[in-house]
Amino acid sequence: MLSRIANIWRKELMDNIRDRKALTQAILIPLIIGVFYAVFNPMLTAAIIARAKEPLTIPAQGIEHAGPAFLSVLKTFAITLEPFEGDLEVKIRSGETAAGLIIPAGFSQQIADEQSATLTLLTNQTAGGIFGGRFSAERLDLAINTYSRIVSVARLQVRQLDADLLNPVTLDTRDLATPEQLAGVLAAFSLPILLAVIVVQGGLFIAIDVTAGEKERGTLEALLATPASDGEVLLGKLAAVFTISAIPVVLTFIGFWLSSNLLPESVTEGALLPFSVILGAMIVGLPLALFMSVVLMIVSVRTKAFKDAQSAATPVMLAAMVPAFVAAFAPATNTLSFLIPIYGPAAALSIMAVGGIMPPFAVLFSILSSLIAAVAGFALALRFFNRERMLYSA
Amino acid sequence: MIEIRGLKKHYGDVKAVDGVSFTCPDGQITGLLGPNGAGKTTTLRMIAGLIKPMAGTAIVGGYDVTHNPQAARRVLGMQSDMTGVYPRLTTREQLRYYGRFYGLKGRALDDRVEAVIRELKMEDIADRRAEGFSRGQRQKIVLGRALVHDPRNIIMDEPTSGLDVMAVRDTRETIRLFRDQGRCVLFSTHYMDEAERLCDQIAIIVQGQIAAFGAPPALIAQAGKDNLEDAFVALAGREGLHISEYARQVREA
Repeated sequence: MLSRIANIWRKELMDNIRDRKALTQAILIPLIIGVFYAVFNPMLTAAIIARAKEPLTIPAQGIEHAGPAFLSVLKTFAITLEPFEGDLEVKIRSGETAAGLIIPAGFSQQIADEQSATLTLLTNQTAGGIFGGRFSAERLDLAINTYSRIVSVARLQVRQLDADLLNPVTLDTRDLATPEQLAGVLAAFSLPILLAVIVVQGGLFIAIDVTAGEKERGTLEALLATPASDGEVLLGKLAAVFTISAIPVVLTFIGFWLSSNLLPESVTEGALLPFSVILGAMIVGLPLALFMSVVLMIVSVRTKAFKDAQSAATPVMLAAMVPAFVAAFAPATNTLSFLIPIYGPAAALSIMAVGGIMPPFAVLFSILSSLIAAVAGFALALRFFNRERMLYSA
Repeated sequence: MIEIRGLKKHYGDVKAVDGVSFTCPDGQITGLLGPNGAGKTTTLRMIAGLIKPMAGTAIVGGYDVTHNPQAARRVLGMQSDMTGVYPRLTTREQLRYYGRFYGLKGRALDDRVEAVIRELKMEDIADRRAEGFSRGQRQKIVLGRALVHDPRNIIMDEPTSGLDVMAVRDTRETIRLFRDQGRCVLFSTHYMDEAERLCDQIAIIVQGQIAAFGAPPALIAQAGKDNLEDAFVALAGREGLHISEYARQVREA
């Protein structure tokens, strides 16, 4: 029995490795995706950090009413006001500029007279991409709050009152995130989705080729006329699909890790994913690859031709990505949720990426979720693998 | 030897095969002759265990296809009418692949593959990938993989269909060779001259039933005609089925 399964496995591997298109689909594309994610991940993290430190120039109206103290505080936040003539609202609404400030006439006088003054901050959160309006508004908000507090303290001091009156509660915030955890913030989101994409993409072509492809080539009848049983044929083919799916899982995550490690520190700011996360991705990813191989086989076995199978298998990618998205946005709250196929491994990987505390048995449960689903799926695939219907149904 | 006992397969109201029985002895060529849609291919597929019969069975080399399909397939070689091959594998690799299913390995496998390549005159394509092979070359691979385990029983579904003259001659010679080697050969065809030249006995199948069975001269005599083609028309026609002596004998049995 084993020799017949091994025979099919060996032949399918050889056959598909010789097919350049299949090899590209199975290995090269996931590898490119992995490297892209790897480069994108630390670069985005670094870009966010760098952006927060970059000088910011904000168009403003009424700068002459601002007063040197106000401008001096803005300067400490690396914010420079640039005089603007015309309709500032139109300019910002059009997205040409992400944020602008309107300083009313008499602003300095109102401050000097110990009155409340109002500044108008105009923003367009959609302008300037992800580093645009929201970033500018947040930095201006922080700077103006600081100025407001300085003025308040000065007013209290004039009245010989303690400045702490303004601070009944002080919040001492310390960011204890390690560089690895910082790197993991984006990885926690991207790795589960990357995993879902790879396990489907890697096995897609070969799963179709060994089932619908064999049928379309007219070789299935001869194969089924050999002493190999339906179970042996299906197991041999599944083993080949899983092998081809497993290769990109391993290569992609190693590529992910290598690429991010090869980037200069000026880009990554020391934020690198530890290899243990990559190892964890493989531990939960390989059983998931087995399950997805079974799913692809179930879909492909029921189709008659290569193109039919391609159409039928496309929703599998979406079906795999949805639980991975949920895991990326909604971390698992109890251990049993790790038993949900696809969601479990994705959630475990998401926690691993940020170095979070894994609930007991979470990794084991996420592996079991894939293995149990794979066994159940294989039983279903075997049921669909009816030789008479497979070969001759119209 | 292949014994076919009351094989029956219906698809809804269509009686594809309806109680077919006959025996193909070793060392003889048995032809399954019939018009298109008569049930030839369905009968062969049931013998190979590819289609499950509704009733009846086939005994191949002493193994019941219904109850012990894997054992029956071990002693059977099937050349299907589907001439699909693996385009990315060489002829030799395809034969080795099929040989391993029958437990062949190592030197025994290599020797057997080499023998089949020689027997079917495939030396020139032995180590070429099958991509772009002609129908005749593909047909040789299909036949080669049916022979790689050296089966005593061979079934062939329209083996000369679509081949050029030279390939047809080669195939017919090969079929004769199988008989000379003492194998049991059952093949389907709708070419009268082929059946008359090759077959030791012929089963004429019409509408899923055996209309007549016997050696070509006996069938010609039975129909009172001069040649097999006329005999076939007489026996295979609607009237022929009902007056068929063979069908009456089977019904009575």
